[in-house]
Amino acid sequence: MKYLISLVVGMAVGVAAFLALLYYNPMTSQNKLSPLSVSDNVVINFNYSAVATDALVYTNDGESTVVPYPSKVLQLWEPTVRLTDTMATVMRDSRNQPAAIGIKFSSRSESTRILNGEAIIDSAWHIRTRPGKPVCRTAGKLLGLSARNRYSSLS
Amino acid sequence: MFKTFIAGILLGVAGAAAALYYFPAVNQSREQSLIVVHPNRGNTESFHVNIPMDRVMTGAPSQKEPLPVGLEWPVDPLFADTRAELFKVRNGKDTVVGVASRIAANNESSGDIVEWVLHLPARGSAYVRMQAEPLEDGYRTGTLATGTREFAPLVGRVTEHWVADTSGAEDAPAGRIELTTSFVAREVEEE
Repeated sequence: MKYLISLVVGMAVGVAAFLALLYYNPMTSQNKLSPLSVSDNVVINFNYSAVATDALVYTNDGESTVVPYPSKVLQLWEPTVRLTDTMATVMRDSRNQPAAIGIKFSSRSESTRILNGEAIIDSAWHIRTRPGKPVCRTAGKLLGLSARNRYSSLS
Repeated sequence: MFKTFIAGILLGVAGAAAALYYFPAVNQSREQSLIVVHPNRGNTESFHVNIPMDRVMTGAPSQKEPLPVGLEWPVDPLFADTRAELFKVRNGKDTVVGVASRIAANNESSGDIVEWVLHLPARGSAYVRMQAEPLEDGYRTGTLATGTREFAPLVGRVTEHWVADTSGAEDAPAGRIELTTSFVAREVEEE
């Protein structure tokens, strides 16, 4: 019996040690340099608040830590969209002036690999920029962007 | 007993690693794609939005009844000509399969704009630019400008059409926006 208890305690310690190693693994830290900083393309910077109540609309499955805003917004509770957040927000330029309306879709990605320290969010942006603003060829029209955000999995 | 404890630790480490490797951390729920193959006309897939029950947001200036209740649309002149909407998107079996945004705008510098982004979490996103003016039969056509994941290697057309409900049922929607996609692989289109 004592051997069985020893084995079980050892396994618990092993699992805890493995998870601790994943959590504190310095090899899984995020890149400090954005790929955009070395891009040849024109780069437009928009700022927005990630706080749900600062958005025009934020919705999710209604059971997550972040509460949908406004409170009566339709929630994404269906199984196919349960792991998706959607936000509409005002995007601001570097002078903090309104520059665009942005709609962001974020879904947890099946490419997530906890073992590699990668918690991946598949995001798609739909942005309406300021008409006539000479920042790129699609200025004044709608700019479709997509992004694949990688977050350090446990931190 | 100490050797058993050490063996337990190794077993625990190996078990945790194996579990993380073999069991997906994220498993998106999927619905079967309902693609129809037409004789000599490629293949199409239909999506629709039931109005008003699938409407998540209607953002436009000077709305008497904003949706959702409590929405404060910015009064900046920048957004005066813009109407942004968010919907749930359903497949041919009336099952929600994703979310979509539709932005329509009209101003002197950019002209009329109607665009969609369809975001299907299990499949990817499609960014569609529509013609501003609908055709005589009420259809508005557009093209797939770009996409992610499943939609990334595709090109093709999309039509938007409003279908009013004629069933007269008490709980029936007022109508629905039908989106019909006709996509093929980029390589096929270039041949």
